[in-house]
Amino acid sequence: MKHNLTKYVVLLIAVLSGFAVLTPSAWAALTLKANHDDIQINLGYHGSTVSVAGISDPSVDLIMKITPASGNAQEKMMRKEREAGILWMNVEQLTLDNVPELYLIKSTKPVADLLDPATLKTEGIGYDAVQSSLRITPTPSPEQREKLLGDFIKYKQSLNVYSQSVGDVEMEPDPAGESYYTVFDWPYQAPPDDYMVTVYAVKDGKIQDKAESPVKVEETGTIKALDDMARNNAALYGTAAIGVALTAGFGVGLVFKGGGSH
Amino acid sequence: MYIYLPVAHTSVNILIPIALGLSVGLLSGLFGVGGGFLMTPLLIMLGIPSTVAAATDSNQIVAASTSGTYAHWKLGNVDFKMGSVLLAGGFAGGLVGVEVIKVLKAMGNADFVIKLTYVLMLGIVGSYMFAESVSAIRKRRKKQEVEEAPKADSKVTRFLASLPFQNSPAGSGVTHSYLVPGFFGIFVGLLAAVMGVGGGFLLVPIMVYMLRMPMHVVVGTSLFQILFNCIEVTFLQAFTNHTVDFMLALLLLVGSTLGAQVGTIFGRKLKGEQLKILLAILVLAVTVKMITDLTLTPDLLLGPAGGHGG
Repeated sequence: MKHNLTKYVVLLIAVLSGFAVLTPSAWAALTLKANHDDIQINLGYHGSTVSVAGISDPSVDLIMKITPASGNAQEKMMRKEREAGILWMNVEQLTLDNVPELYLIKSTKPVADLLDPATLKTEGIGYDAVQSSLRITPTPSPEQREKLLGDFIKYKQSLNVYSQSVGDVEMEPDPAGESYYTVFDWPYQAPPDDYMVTVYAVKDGKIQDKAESPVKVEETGTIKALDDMARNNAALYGTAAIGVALTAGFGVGLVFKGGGSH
Repeated sequence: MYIYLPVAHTSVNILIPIALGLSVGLLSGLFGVGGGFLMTPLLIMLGIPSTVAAATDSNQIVAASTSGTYAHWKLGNVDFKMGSVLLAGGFAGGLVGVEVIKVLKAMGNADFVIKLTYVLMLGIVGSYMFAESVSAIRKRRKKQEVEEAPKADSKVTRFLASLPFQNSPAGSGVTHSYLVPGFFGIFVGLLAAVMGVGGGFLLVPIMVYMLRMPMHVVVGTSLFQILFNCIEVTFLQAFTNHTVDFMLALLLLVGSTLGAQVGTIFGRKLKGEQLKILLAILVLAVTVKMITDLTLTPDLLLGPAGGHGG
């Protein structure tokens, strides 16, 4: 009897162990590949596209986010207010900290339907999360802060560096799970920097998996040489800019022979 | 066809800045104004950051005003002596203006004072020029005396004539103490620094109405003064703020140098009164645009910091 009990226990452990081994292989691990991940800014650059593709589990929803890899920046803005009853004026300079210089997001469903507000905020997913992490100095009143943050997002959207959309992701069955594919329009207004594409696999209100892939945007050739010179050799850059302007103005003057007088 | 701008960090269609340069250069050659009050807002509308727009505009004005000054010099329309005195006064006034701005900023109402001053100056100058030019054209039509007789016996004239350092520059055909253009140079330099503009639209009426210089000489001399002002501003902006976009300036100056020549040629075909009335209309149009911008509720109550009025 004792021998039989030992046999059942061993069998039970073996069955449970088998489940433990089998479960991960049944779950399709999230993979990610961002194509065109080295964007080169040359003379004719007018933006680009970055395709994001991979394999996910068929049962999950996806959220894709592109933000600067090196962290967020500081930005100075002017606040407008009506003065003397009729004139709209810049009345105050605001310093905004923790500003993503690029914020692109796509998801298979609205992000607020997929994750709770606390998780969205922790992961920086969605405009609400971006707004709540922004610091404004001097500190505005709560009503003023809400209006200013709303306007700030609209301002960034007008520059094409912030966008948030739902449903623009192709999903197809795949032997390894389900393949997903989407294309981000890369705005030319996004400055050269290292960026990170992050894809979240979400199920039952929880992040099940997360994958990351970098995108590098860099200046090359003449553009890089001029930008470097403007920053690092400013006196020579300024003198050269003036010299070229004087030469061009004088040269055109010579061609026209003094306003056509001679 | 697009080109990427290395300092502005944005991309533009090549034809747009060339066309902008051509239009503003035309005004520059025609009226002797730098055109920054038009170009800077247009560049901002094109998506150029305001600080880069203002600094790069100064760079292209160097080219346009060189082209225009050269064209007017060949026509004998540049009074170098008068221009140099105005320039010296302008530099001094600019230094005072920078200090005034500091005080206004510390008081917290700089933007209000600047914009109000800008609108008032534009409105007054534009209205006066317009009324005076219309009146002059009517008088000419009636074959009456167009030129006002010099008020030889007025107190002001007697006082001006009594000032030391009297001089009669060959180009202007007027006699003034160096102190008079020096004073007006300081006045324009101060206002230009406070308002953040080149000052051409103020200097032209002052030379016409206060210094009684012929309109064509006013245009050439104003361009000469603007050239040196913008050289200084371009260097300071490039050196201090790194905001001059050479690539953008190059596109703008391709258009503006040609425009300045065409404007000079076109200006020769117009009479002084006609030039004045066209400039007055332009100044009044800018005034109306500014008043509209200031009074209509903006879409966003937040905007980028930096930049000036041109």
